[in-house]
Amino acid sequence: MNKITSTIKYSAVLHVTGWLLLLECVMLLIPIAVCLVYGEADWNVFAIASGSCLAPGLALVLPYRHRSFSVTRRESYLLTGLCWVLFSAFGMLPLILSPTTQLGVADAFFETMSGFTTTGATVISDVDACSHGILFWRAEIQWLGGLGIILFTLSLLPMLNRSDGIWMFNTEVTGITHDKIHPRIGQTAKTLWQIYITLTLACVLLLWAGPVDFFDSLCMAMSSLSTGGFSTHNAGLMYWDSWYVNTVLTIFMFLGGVNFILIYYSVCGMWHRLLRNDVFRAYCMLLLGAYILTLVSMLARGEVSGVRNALVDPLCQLVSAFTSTGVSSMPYEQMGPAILIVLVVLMAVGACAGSTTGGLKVDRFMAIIKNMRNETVRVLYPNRMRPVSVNGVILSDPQVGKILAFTTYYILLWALVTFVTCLYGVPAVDSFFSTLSCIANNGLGYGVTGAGGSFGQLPVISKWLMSFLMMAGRLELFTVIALFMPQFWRH
Amino acid sequence: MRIFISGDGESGTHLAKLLSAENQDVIIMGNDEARLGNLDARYNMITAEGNPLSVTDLRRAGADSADLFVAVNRRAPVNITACQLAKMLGALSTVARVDAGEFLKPPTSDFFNSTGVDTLLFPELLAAYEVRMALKVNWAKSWFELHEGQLTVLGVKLDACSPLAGIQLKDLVQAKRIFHVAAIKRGRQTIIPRGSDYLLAGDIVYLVTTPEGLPGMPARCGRTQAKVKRVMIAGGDKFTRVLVRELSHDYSITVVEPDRTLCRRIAELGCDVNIVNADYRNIEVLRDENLDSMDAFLAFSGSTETNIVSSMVAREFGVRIIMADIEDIQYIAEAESLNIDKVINKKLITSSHILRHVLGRDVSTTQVLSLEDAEVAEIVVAEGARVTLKHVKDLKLSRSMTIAGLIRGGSGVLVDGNTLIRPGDHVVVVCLNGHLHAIERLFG
Repeated sequence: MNKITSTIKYSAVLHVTGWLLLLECVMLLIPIAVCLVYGEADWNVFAIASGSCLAPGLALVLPYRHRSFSVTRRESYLLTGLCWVLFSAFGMLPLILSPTTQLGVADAFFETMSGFTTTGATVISDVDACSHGILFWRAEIQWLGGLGIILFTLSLLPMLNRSDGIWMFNTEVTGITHDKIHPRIGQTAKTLWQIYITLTLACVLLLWAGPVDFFDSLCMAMSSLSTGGFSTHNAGLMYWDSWYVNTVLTIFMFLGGVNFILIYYSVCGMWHRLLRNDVFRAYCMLLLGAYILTLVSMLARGEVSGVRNALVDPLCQLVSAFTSTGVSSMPYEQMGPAILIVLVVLMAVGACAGSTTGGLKVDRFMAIIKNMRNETVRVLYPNRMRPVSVNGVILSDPQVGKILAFTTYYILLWALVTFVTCLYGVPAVDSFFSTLSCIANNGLGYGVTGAGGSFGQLPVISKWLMSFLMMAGRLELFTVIALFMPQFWRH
Repeated sequence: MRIFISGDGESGTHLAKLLSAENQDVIIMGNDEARLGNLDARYNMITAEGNPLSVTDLRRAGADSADLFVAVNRRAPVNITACQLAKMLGALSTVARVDAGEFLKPPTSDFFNSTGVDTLLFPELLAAYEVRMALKVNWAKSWFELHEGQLTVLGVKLDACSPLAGIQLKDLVQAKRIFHVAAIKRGRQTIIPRGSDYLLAGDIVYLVTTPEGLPGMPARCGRTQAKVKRVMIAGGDKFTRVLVRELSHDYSITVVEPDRTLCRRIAELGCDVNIVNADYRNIEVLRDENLDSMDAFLAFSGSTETNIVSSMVAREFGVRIIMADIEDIQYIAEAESLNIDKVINKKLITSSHILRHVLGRDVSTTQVLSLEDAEVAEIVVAEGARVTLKHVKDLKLSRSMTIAGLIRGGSGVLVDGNTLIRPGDHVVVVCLNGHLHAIERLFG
């Protein structure tokens, strides 16, 4: 049991991968039901996809079922990376096969990865033409990816309710430190899913009570809670053009950007933990600041006409950008550079860690700002001891170092992919914006990828690179980048 | 069960890992940030930094809702006070580790019980009991009696000349069954054996036997019970003092201790014991004190390395029984491979005692022993339980467990493939760590 080895235990990785494939096989059954309910012909593409998960899944699970494994550091990184790639690889099959979409491999992989990572950047220009099954599948993968595939697995497979699961939990959950609500990881995962499901149901009911039909309510709720942003209509939110829909979605996107553990405490009646949380306060303050800037810009340009136009739509747009949902409630591309800059900053920062959001996260942003301030003070007073604290917890120097390294990677990857995309003739601002949109799991587009266009118009190499960025951004860079170190594979 | 452990020393962390493997809800509080961080990243438990005597810290970490509060900090007064505070906050039951035997005696223990400390543990005393048992039954490495001796679990190390070494278990069954091989410890690995497994020289084999089988066991294992009279103890700290008090009536004891003050404190016990004020690393001194005519040598100095080396020296002198106190848990497997008959580790003894205490509180599981990587549990079979439906060989039991024996109508019986388990039987199950909870479902 305690064998001292440092080699990667591939059999353990394959075994767990097998279980994950079986899980995806089950996930693919739900859209079949949707197709059958709406009497659509493309239920068989989901059956094919489900079957192609089942075969390798069983092949990997059955031979090892009597053996016990221990997953440790290396295996968990490999597993998490592998699991996200495989889920997208199998999940893209319906999009390739369905007659209503008929995407190429690069497009379909981009679309599926965009779903799982809750980016919501789409290559499909005519969403209205998609079958209900496809639309539901896009919503479902976002919803599962939002809280995390591994976290979903943890709450289902008791065999991972051990230290193995903790390693995997740590590779997928976002944030500087990872809090546990419950001593056992499976329970923590279950509690998080309970909150998530409850919020989603609430959102469905509220939308359904308004002008939205049941299917759209379901898809939009899954897409906004997970801060994904895939829409069920070409026109996005303008399809309903209702202040009610925008308000409801704003609230739930906002909640999707709050650390779920804080929501748990609030549900348990400990409101003070939410209200006294530095990160939550910073999240609200940043949003407020962004709103004021937007309002000033709109007033200066004379674009304000009425309450909805001044309050509901801009807030919806800002929350959507901040929480990395990426739905659009107003034509931000035509509203001047000030709003664009505000959106870029919000997108790059992203909402609170421990939520379904992407980007740097407010937690890291706070640490960076505090560290910057401290280093400035130390120019004058070199011996001052000034801790970097987030939520009253003082971060250790290695933690601050890791945050800075994270930010460096983030900016470098962003710059690199922007550069490559520009080489293929995409305008600089468009590629800058689109790349950020992918690495921050956001999904808003600009110019080529913006209103009227789609990410499908990007060069193929950019689609693959951006698929990689989405996954790297979702798994917080290090999990993915570690796999590219030669030392990871050597022992 | 929600278990709160105060103290992140070796005992605390070891206990936390054991309990977390048992699917208990574990919270561990201490003040070593690096160690707690490591635990948090690797194990299913919540870690908290805090002062064991701060009510705020205790409450924040969740001591108020604990079913069991275990205090294993370095100092006894801290443990006692921490237990009292936890009890006040609402912990259901408390256990404190103490550092003197006095605390366990009636007026004092009653006082502590009435002020919120339910159980007091004195590791040195628990270890001394273990040493006494090992000297008494010295042909086996470990020895547990279940149900007043109706079944006995034995740990025996096989050497090359043992009749069991090299035998495949399938062949063993054909002889008249007087024992059941429940687990094999090979190097760092613990195996629950099946018919196809071989017993090898160097294995530590855990056997379960009935009172009828017991007299024949030493011969079957190729070991003989040695008569022990003369015992030498190297090292004279607190553990030795407890031991001297426990053993001096039955054995002739020689204690070797270089520190004069410690020697005097042993003399102050007033027991009949030879005290040698010299360095136990000095072979000349040991020879002068007739190490070669000793029946047992107990290397119980404070240093693990010294204990291992002096055990080797005693082995060279031809001492029959050698025990060593190995306080670094990492070294235990190595020490066992070095021909040390019995390894004593006070932390392991304490944590397995607490584990027994915890698991013993489950209704169905009446008694539990732990053998490093495996556990022995006695489970009462409920009416209509899955195990009662078929013969044992048809049950398709998991490979991480074995049914070693059962107690029916007050007497012990070994179990084989054709046994049919009945409701009301007390079944003795041996399983790998962490599988007990899954197994209980079979019997419930």
